[in-house]
Amino acid sequence: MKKYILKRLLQMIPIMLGLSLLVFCLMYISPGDPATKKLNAMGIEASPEAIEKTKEEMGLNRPIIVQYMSWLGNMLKGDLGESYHNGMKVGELLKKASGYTFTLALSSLFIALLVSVPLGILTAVKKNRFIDYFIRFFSFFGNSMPNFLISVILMYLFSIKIKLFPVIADSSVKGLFLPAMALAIPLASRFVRQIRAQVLEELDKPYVQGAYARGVKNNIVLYNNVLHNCLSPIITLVGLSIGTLMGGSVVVETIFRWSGLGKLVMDSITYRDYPVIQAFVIYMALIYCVINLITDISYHKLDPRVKTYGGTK
Amino acid sequence: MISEREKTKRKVIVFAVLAAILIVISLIAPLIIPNDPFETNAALMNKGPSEQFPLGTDRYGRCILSRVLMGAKTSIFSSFTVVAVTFVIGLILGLLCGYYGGVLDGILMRFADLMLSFPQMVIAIAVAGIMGGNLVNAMIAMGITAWPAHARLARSTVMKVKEEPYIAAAKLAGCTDFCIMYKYILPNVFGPLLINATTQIGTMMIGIAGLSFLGIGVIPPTPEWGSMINEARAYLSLSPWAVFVPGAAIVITVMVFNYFGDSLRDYIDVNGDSNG
Repeated sequence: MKKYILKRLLQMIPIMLGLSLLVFCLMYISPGDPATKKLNAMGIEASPEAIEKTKEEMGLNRPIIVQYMSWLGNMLKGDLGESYHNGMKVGELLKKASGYTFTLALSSLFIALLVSVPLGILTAVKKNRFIDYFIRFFSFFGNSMPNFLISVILMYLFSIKIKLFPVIADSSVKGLFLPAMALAIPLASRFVRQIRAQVLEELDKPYVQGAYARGVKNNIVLYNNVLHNCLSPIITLVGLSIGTLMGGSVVVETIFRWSGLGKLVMDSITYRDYPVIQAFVIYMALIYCVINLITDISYHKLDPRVKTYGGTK
Repeated sequence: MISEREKTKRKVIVFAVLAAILIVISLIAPLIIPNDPFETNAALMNKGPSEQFPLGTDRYGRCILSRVLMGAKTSIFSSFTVVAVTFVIGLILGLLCGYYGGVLDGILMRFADLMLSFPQMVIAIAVAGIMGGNLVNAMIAMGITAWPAHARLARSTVMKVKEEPYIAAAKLAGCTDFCIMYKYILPNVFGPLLINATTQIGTMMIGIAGLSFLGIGVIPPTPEWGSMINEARAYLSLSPWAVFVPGAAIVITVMVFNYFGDSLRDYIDVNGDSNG
């Protein structure tokens, strides 16, 4: 197991290096040169002298590979640079916003699982009955709805029609509810379909037929065996949904003005605050990779049959 | 009682027809719109449905129905274009990598892995945000994250097919590499890849609309569903129809294309031709 984890961690290194190069290059394919952008973001008029001075400060007159190496070195030391917009340390900004985003992401995951696990099992057990079609239609519906539309609809229903929740989310539980729901609905819609498929596949297996034939009660088979075996696929589902959740949180946080990472990056895009955008992408990618790793590890732990520790690359 | 296969076939036909209707509507939109989608009218701002404006007006007094119809073209064609372009790129790269292997394969597939190891929307938002918002940049941003999935699928199918005896026979018969790829491998790869592409149209639509909603996609006043919703949400209590009409348009279109893709995949799977 230790060897497997170490191997996976080592595999992450080239991936993160590749990404850092990509993110670094993004800055250069964007219109305008970085010095002018920095001055504009700071609200200073970009006169030729000021540009030259800033270029010198930022080390832009060095060869590009040297720039990349020094940028990467700073990143590795934990120095993510300073925001062009307000001069704050990017690391501090990210740290402050992370808490909000984690709270939001975890709450929506929790709501999504709370709803989708029972519904997924129900639709599988009642396959092709009315309730199955009914729930499946809604889950398809939820899956076809973009996050931003769900957010706006929730806002209309709960903030404008019945004034139950605030339009602008404050950090209270009440403020958290709508953005968490906006993320949870599409997530739950997808989970229901996948859990249903998983339970159905499990119900088809010979051991279930055998148990039925021996007269074991339906519910006992369902709760003791089938659900137990469905646990690890469900964990994988959760792991795979993190990417969607990250993209969705940018939209939802912007709409509800939830001061998490998503809102931070959208504000930074408005101000053309490149160091923050770069750090955001790298930070998100790192979290994503780590969560994927944790998912895989728990998958191995939960299902003793999975023994491909070495893996095939 | 009709067979399962017949049922799936009917589903495919129904959704193909619905998808075709949507595409036709988007094509003939300029001919059927009741009003000029760009014409503002200060006297008729945020008005409900009326005879002149069947689905009401937005905050500039523009006809919402006309804007939604015109927006169909932007949404449908931008997502079709991205899916088609990434499909072709993925197909060609997958074919070359799967067939030749070697250094090219190694480099390209590592790059594909790199793109697949990160959340798509996060990369798309960063790329579109940094390059500056317009439709083409938004499409590029979505495309960058979309091609690797096609390439991987194509490559794995090619590698399976490559070992078939008839490929060896073709080689012995003196076929060129290009001829083998085009005549014997491509037909095997095309089907599964096309189905995969079809199921991606809906996701792509949501993605592009999302970027436009965030203000880093289509630039107003060009009618587009995502940006229409963004413009209208500040006036949600005054004119909710300005949000819900384009919203309904997105949901219906995405649902039709999603159902179409899913039923097509089911149909091919039922036929036992599931080597994808």
